Amino acid sequence: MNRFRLAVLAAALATALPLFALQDKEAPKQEKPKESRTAYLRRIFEKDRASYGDACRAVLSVIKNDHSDADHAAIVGDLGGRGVVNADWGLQESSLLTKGTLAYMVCQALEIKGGVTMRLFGINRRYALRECLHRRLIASGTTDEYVTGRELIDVITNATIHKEQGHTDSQYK
Amino acid sequence: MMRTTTVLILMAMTALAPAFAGPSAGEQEKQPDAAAKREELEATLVDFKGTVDVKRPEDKDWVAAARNMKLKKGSELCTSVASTASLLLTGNVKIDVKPLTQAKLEDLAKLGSDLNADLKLKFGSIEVDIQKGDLRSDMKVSAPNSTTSVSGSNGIVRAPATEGGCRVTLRTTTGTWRHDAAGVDRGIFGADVADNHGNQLRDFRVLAESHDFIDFFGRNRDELYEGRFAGKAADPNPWSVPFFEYANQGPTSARVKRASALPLPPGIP
Repeated sequence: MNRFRLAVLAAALATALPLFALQDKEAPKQEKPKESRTAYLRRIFEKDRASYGDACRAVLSVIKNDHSDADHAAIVGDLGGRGVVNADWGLQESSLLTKGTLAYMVCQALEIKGGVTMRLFGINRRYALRECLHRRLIASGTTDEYVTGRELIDVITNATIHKEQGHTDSQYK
Repeated sequence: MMRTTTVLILMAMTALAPAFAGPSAGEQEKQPDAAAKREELEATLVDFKGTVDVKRPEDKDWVAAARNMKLKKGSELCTSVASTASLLLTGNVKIDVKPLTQAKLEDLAKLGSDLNADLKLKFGSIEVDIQKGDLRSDMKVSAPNSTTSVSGSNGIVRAPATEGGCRVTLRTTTGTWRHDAAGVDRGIFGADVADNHGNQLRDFRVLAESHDFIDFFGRNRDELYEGRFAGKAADPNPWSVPFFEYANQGPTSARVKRASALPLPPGIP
């Protein structure tokens, strides 16, 4: 009898195993619902720390002058092709955003060439931040300082104005 | 004696009864009249560009904006990158919502011949354009730490997401703009100020933090009030400042304001 029960259990397990395997494969497909339209903006406003994913989407929106609903991989691929982000950073979508990284992205997106130092030695996050501070795209901060959600909104607003007018003076008038 | 006291108490209660009773029939008729004077209005989303979302009081979630959408009191509006929206409150009050802005229509009502509008700006910027019309339009733009009251005129109110204050840029010089922000009195409270066309701005008041300032055609407070006198000693023509109309009304005109505050211009006896 015990052997019979064991055999039934084994048969049931053998039958169920492929189902479990299917469920495991299906699990990753249940991704979080895609944010659309202006919801990302309100979410960023409430965040204490902006993420790399937030910045990528916002900067691509500035470049294209249109809101982008694409997923993070596609956005990073697009930005990487334009030289706005550097693949060597190894940042994930949820990685916290620093001011240096954001400044680099903004400078590349707006094609800001910078001063003598940046032109001679090339762009890096430190010089990019100095340039953004000078142009009042970013209010203040240091290279490794994290960006808050509200700061990101202000930077993107300033970047949009800079793209239209070539400076951000109107934001401070 | 006891009976007399009881009678007196009863008489006093009878006399005071109307005071404690509810409103009379006449008063009850007056209350609906007062309520009828306040007429709730609806703003119209006359135009928009790009990605604009709206959340009306009856909506559970944000919905995409549509042309000629009616926005009643309590409606919110949010614009994305490169997106704008135009709201028409009445025929003579128009609001342009700039990109990356979230605003809420706190109040919109007609009180007799007055239009009362209250807009709460969470972040971003709006341009207010109030033309002369049948209704006397009083508009209040509230940012997290400041309030700007507008009566007539055209200007932009910006509320940076970070700082909590707001900046005001005037486009025209008529009307009244009163800007109050929680913080420090910057020393020109209540002062009458003129723009660089010589037009007087009435009741222009500033109470602002360091991040708040009022701008007249691109000049900040330092340029307006302090930097103006710096370097004037070396200036061969220090009176060619179009800002102060009292100093530029010609050598023969009578000085009506603050003549004693500054030395007289050259040529004046």
